[in-house]
Amino acid sequence: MRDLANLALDTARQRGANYADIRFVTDRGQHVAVKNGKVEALSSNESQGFGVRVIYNGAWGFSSSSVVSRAEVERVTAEAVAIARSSATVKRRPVELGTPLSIQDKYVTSVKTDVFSVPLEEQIALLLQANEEMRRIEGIKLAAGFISTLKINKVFASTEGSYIEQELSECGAGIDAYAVSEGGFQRRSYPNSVGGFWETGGYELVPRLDLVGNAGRIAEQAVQLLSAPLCPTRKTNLILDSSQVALQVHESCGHPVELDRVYGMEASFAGTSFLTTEKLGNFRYGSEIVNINADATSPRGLGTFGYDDEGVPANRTPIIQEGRFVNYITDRETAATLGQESNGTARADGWNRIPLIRMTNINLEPGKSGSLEDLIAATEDGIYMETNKSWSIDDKRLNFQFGVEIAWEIKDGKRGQIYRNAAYSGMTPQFWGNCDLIGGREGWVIWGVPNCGKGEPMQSMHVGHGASPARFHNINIFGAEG
Amino acid sequence: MSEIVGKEKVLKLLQNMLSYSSADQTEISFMGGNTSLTRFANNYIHQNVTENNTTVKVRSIFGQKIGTASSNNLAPEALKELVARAEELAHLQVDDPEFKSLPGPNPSEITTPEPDETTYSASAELRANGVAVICRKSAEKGLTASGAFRTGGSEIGVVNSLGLTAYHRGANSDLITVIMGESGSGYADRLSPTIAAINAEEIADEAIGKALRSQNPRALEPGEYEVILEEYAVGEMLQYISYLGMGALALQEGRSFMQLDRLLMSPLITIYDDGSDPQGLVNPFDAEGVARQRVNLIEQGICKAVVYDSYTANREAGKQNTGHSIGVQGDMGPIPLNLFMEPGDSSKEEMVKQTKRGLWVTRFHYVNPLIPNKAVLTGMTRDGTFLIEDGEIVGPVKNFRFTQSGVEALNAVQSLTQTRRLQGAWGGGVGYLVPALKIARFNFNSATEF
Repeated sequence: MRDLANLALDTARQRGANYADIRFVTDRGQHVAVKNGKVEALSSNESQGFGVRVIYNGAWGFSSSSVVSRAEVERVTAEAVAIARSSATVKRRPVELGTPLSIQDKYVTSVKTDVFSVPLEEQIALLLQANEEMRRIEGIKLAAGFISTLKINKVFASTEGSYIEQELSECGAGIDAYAVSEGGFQRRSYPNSVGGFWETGGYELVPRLDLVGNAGRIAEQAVQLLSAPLCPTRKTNLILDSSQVALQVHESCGHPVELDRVYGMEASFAGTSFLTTEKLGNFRYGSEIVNINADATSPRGLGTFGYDDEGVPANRTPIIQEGRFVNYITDRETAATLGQESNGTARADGWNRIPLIRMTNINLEPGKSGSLEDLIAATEDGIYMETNKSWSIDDKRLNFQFGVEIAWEIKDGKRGQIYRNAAYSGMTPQFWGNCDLIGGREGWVIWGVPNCGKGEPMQSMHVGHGASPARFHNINIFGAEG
Repeated sequence: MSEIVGKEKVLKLLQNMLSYSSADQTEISFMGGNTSLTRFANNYIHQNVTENNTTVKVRSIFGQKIGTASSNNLAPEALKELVARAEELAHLQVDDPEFKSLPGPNPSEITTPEPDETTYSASAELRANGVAVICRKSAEKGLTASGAFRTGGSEIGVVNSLGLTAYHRGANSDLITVIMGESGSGYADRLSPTIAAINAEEIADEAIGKALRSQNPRALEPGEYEVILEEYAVGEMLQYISYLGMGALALQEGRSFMQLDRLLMSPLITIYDDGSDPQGLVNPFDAEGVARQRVNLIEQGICKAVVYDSYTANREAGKQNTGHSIGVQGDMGPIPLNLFMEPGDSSKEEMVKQTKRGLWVTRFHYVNPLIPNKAVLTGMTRDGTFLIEDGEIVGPVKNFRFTQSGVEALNAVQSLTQTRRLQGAWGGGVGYLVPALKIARFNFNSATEF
């Protein structure tokens, strides 16, 4: 691979590029999915290829191919330079990348059980057992579950002298129970909805989740939701479970601190950000108990790696300190524009995509308010919401609305009745400003988001969020009815 | 730009792979082509990419056991290993009692016109020329342009051991732009099978005009408003409605709003799916190689049908496969991808004149289902929202969040424009031909600061 990398970098130089990098990527994945007692999908996927990124005359060009050969490396590199030449015809100022980086290293995800070492028969049997447990509950019309395993091998080389090899392993799993009645449809998921629970690491995740042990509980809740009253509309104390706090962090903190959004580079698709550069260091984003870090070194986080796709080492960067906005997440180009060095968040969704600023693990640090039950006990009047069902936020990341799968009334420090179709809405700084309790380390979980969309062509990224349950006061809640 | 593989080579490759198979039934599909995209922001090109990829997928069946494997490694030994891998997975499977068979051959060979080669292989220079027009015009007005100009094409082939063969090569291009001023923005896009039909001047003028009219928006109370939805917003809403309810799996699993032969929408609404209609983007067959049939989904407001793939058709007595497989089983099942909404007899100008107090909505942002079985959606307005009073547009307003059933919105349609526009869906490659709509009631439940 080193020969092909050198061929690309030499070709780029010969054709006048000021900078070039090449990434060889091989993704291998297995997916097992069951639905209603049968195996719905049993598949194996592999994708390999390389992408060459160049700066020519101060402008970017990128080309990629699935054919890994000397001839194709030369052709694709020449094409990348030609594309950059076109970019330079509609240019503002030359691209700067900051201090050159020359790193030679290898990184491998720490795993206990290799993701491909567990027989598929065993995985199928486990999912079918969980499926049976869910379908045992009267009223369940659909029961589903999956286990996915993934291994990504990357080689990065640049004209600045870097040569970095990485092997990342990921595992994900989850189950869902669906209850249906005349006009009613309710889903409960475990451990999380929308793609399940994911982390970097090995297959050891799956037994730890205890899918079978949780199957009956969520199925019963799905059925209970069919006859539960609609969530009332009012302002109240809102407690969110840690998975919903994680998604709240993702949408209302992780995205708005992406510096490319702030600079308008995503304006036509995902949007921009309310966190404009004059706010850096002096904007009150949340209450004083809110501390958020971007940490690509968090053990098991889905956004954990050794180096980003520009060869910048993984690191931990404070984003919100005691409620104050202190840092963006950056790549080399945007950091240089701001007079900083990259904090290593440029990642690409495969060999055929360019690196963009992507969340790593954007973690809300644990607070001092104990467990979820401690938060509930400390709340005289309010509502507890669990597991995301719907999400939406405006294109500057201010106005948001989230729906959840299940909610409980809280009265005098105790859970009361279940509500269906619960949702809440707010504006980002006010919402985080109303955060008055954050649970402790005992309830802190790093949730993986395997489907974070950004960029054109669309890139789907795997990112993580550590979070504990948290409480927010004076929040608009409502029940969504068809 | 990589070479086009071509029909003969694609089908030969797939037939060769079929010869490696020892399964009872085998399906092999090919997806190749290229996508190039020039992205701009702040009035300059900041990203410029191209991709050549070819993926082969094998579905092997022993009895009622199914395994699938895919790869983009086309080396002969790798292709043999891929077939073996799919068969190995199938042997690990348990029986799927609802699987009957892969589809048989199409009644006749699927023939489609050759794609526009300029679009298929458009150069970065061609895209940069279009982008330059938008950036220049935007800068002249003191505005900031962003957007993307995409060109490319795809080659798709499917064969199976029952004798089915299908091959298609298509091309399309789209150019979108958001033009931003200090306190408001405008939008325009165009999608076409031929790049020559993409007029950058026209797109720039539309978005710039809207951006200029969007400055200094006023805050308005959220609530229920009459609305005029431009084609951009209609296409977005239709994408969600169609995947939530217009496929057979959603109906079979009790999570679709569709109630066959019931009047659920305005009698003005007729929606059908047709992968062969050249007014849209032609997609003549589905992921199983089955010719897409025209399916009348909504006729004059009445739910008439949903779309099927081989699996869902075999689950119901008397149902025909309509050729709408998306290639994977899962939550979605078959969905319509080539939608057409019949036009009306109105124009946007007439719609404005007929509005007492309402909102003009250019497009939506970040739409997501809230109550899937009732197609209740939430999302934001974006890039040009205006107040209409007494038949005139009186000025821009700050953006709203809507929470609204898409089905109820289509039930409250008062008029449709005579002209329609092709709107991209699912990130490109498919398009819907839709008019603008005037709707009597649309619920906006909160507002944002801009």
